[in-house]
Amino acid sequence: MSSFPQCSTKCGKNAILKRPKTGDTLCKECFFSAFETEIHDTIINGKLFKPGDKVAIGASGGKDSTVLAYVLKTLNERYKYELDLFLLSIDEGITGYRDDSLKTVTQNKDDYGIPLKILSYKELYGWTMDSIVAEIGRKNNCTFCGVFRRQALDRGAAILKVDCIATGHNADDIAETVLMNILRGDIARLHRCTSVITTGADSIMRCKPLKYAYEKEIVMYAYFKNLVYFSTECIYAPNAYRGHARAFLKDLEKIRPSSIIDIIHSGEQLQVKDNVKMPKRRNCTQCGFVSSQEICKACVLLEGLNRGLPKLGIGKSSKAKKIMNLHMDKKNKPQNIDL
Amino acid sequence: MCSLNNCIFDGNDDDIARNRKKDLPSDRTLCRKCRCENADILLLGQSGYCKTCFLNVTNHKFRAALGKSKIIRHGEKILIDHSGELNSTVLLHLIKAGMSESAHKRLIFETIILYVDDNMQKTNERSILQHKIAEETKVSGFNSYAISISQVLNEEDTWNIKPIDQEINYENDNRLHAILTDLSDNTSRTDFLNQLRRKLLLSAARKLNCNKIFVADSATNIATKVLSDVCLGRGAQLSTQANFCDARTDIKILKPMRDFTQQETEYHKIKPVKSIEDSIPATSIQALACNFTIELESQFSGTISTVFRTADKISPRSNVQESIEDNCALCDARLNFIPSGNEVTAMRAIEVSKLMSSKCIDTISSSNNEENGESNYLFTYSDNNGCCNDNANCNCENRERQITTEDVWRHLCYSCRQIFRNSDILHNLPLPLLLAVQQRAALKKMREKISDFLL
Repeated sequence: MSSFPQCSTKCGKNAILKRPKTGDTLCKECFFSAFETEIHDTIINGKLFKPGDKVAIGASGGKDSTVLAYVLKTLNERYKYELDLFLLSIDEGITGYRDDSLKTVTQNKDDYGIPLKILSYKELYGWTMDSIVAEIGRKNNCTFCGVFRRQALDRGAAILKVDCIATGHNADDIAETVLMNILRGDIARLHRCTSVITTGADSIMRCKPLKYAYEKEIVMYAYFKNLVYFSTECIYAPNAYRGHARAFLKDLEKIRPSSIIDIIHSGEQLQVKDNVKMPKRRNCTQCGFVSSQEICKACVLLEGLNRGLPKLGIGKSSKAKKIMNLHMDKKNKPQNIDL
Repeated sequence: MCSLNNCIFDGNDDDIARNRKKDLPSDRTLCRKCRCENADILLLGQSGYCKTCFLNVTNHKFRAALGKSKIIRHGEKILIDHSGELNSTVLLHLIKAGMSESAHKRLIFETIILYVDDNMQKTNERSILQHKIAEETKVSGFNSYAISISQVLNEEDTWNIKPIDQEINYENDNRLHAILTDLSDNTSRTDFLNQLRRKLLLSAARKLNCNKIFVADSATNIATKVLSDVCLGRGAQLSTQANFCDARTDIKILKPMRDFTQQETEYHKIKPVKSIEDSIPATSIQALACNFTIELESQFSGTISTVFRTADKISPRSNVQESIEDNCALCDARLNFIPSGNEVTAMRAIEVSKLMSSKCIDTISSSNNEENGESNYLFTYSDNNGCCNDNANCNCENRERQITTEDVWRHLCYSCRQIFRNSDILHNLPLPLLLAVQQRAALKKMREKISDFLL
């Protein structure tokens, strides 16, 4: 008898892996088929795309976006979604991390034949992450990077004139975000972080086709498909608060592998009480992109950097607003005189 | 020029801060309230209190929580869940203090104490512990009762709730122990015991004519439970965990100590009869969540209150008006929200994954798998392998019962189903719950029959 158990789909082959998601043992082919069909199901039932859509894949060169690009290309051909795919990469300017991972993206572009657009923080904001870290130190720099990247993706999508951005967020990421938002008391994000599509009147639609795919299964898929990806942790990340939530999630997964999807289920089943005040979505008065405040976080952070007050956007937002308003008044005054 | 303006701003802010600091007592060693005694107790983020003022403040906090809620009526009977641990001992002291106030401030309800014995493993210690608790409650002067948690396996009318100084009935302990052993992991065991304990409290309150229950959960306990509930998929139930009043059933469960931090209960310097054991390394999600919360709080103080406040602001997503039959038979929470239309949900994703890894198919049916994919669960319930093998009092042979696993499954929420994953649910679900499921299934059938004539 062979030491490998049979594939649980009864296809007759020997299983080579145990699915972290369900505990079933599967052979290579059945795993590929299950993994791809599940993403197909998410795309079809979540109505993520319409035929003829132009879709930008947020590509970092990491495992999630590499697998996302490969699977979307495969499914697009197999099920005739009629999608026009693009790769959209953001160069944060982190030496020893992003420059290497962008090489992977460039290779993906050649391998899959999907056009690639790279936008850099340097050209969008005039700052690289390296120079921001030099300014602010090793704490809070993920705040800058995250805020800037979100907007950079929107800007890139506008340049490419796409209908939708697909991001590589996997089930682990979403569960982690649910936990984070509870720990930080961010009810507005807790409310929306589990939705598979986020959209608004005048913002570009974003979707997460890998929402229900376990990180481990994504790695398995990439491993057995021999997909090249870049797997170094960001050199500035270790001090982030998110690390606590991530470590907790890993411990949970060890005790009960289904807890990842259980947490997502929790997030889907809750809503904010009617009598709780929620921030409204509006547009930044300075740059015009989506924001929950009068002036968006990216503008506040950038203003702080340019004025040598890098901590401006980190702490209380009321103080930042005061300073920003003062700045606006000054800007407006000379114009009034001109008139 | 810009930086000059900034300086002025910063300067102003500093001035304000400095003024504020002057208002505070400059000498931190004096009690902030009476300003004459030395501060014995230093709470986080506040200046110190002397012992007397601290007790006054906590007493006031407790009374304020009760007063603000406006749900306690004159002369009501209230059941106190007393475990012998620190929190519930402090709760007893607070009630006692409230009862001895002057007439116009005196607490106005009648207190009944219930000790739930859940020390199934420690047969030697349990009678000593019960004895100690009996002495403790005798001093307090309240009516006290005791019951074993395994009574929950019996039907409610056969229960015997004994006065605390009498020996209690352990007849079902072995049966409950067998059920727990049959569950797949410690997480399920803890979750199941928690749910049973809640059921037991509710039924005991009903039998003792109480319509409200006090539990001694502090903010720390609540934050821990909130986090572990999220991890168990009970996201829709967070508000019942954090709100002052849990009104899932006709008997309300109140948490008068929910604004107390663990630190505040510890500063009461009361020696509890029973101490809480640490479970390191954690083998259940609940223990893991507890360790995680305490660890994070020690690094980022405020974590516990943030988690607690967040859960307080959340409600379940729900379909339109639902009746009691639509609640989970075990945890009494609403059954899962299933969005109209073909939205993607975690539950659907799990079904698809199960289907994909058990059958060799290339296309998925677009219809809902919940309904047609689970026919393999269908077993008919028969009495000889049923719930009552070890239970002599049970007279279920006399009843014609046909409950299928599918029936039970349909009346449990997502998370309660997780408890019985990989175990025989018909065998493990306590008899009263099986009966409840049967009744609900029957009601549903009746409603379907007459649905054409209902207005």
